[in-house]
Amino acid sequence: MLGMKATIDVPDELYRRVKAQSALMGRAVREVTIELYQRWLGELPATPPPHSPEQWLDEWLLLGDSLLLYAPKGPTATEILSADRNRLDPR
Amino acid sequence: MLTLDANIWVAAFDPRDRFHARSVAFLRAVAQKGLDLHGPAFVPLEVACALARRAGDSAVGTVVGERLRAHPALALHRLDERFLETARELGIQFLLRGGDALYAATAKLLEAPLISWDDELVERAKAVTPDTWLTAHA
Repeated sequence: MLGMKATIDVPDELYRRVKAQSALMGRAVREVTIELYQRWLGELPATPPPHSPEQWLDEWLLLGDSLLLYAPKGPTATEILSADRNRLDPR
Repeated sequence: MLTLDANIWVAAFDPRDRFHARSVAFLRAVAQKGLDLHGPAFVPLEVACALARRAGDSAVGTVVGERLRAHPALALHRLDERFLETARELGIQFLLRGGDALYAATAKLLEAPLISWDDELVERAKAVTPDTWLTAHA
C-alpha cells in the first residue's frame, strides 16, 4: 500500500522498545504505527480486547522460547533468582 | 485467590529451567480455574532482573516486566506502611529474608495462599509448591 511518507523524531529508548516489541510480535513498526493512528482517530477500539489468562500464558511461553533461544549457558532463571536472594547468606 | 512467588513466573518463562514444565502446568491450571493471582508490587522487578541476567540482554528485562504487568488476572500490591509493617512482623516471626517477607505479607493480608518453589518459604512461611497445590486441587 502506497501512502504519504512521514518523518518524525522519536526518542531513542522509546523507538528501541517499540522495535523490540514489534519484532517479538512478528509485526512491522510501520504496521504498528498505522494501527496507533487509526486508534487515535477512533477508527479502531481504543484498547485491544483483553487477553484471557490462558492466552497470556501461551504468549509468555512463546516469548520465553524466542528470547532465551540464544541465552548464554549458565544458571537458569530460578537459579539466578535464588542466588540473588541468598547472596549474603554464606558470609 | 493465590499469591505467587516470582520464581514461578520465571521458571515458566525459561524452557531450560528444572521447574519449567511444572510451573507451566500450574499456571495453566489456575488460568483454567479462573483464579485471581496476587503479588507484591516488586514482582515485575524481580522477574525482569532475573530474566535479563539469564538472557544477558537488558531488552529482555524490559519486555518481560511490561508483559507481566499486563497479566489479566494478576494484581500487584503497593508496599504501603501497613503492608511493610505486616511484612516486618512476619519476617521477624518466621526468620525470613526481607524480600520473602513481602510475599508472606501479601498472602496474609489477602488470605491468598502463597505458592512458591522456595524451600525456605515452604518450611517457614506455610507456602506450598505448585506440585502440592495441583495435587490438592486436581
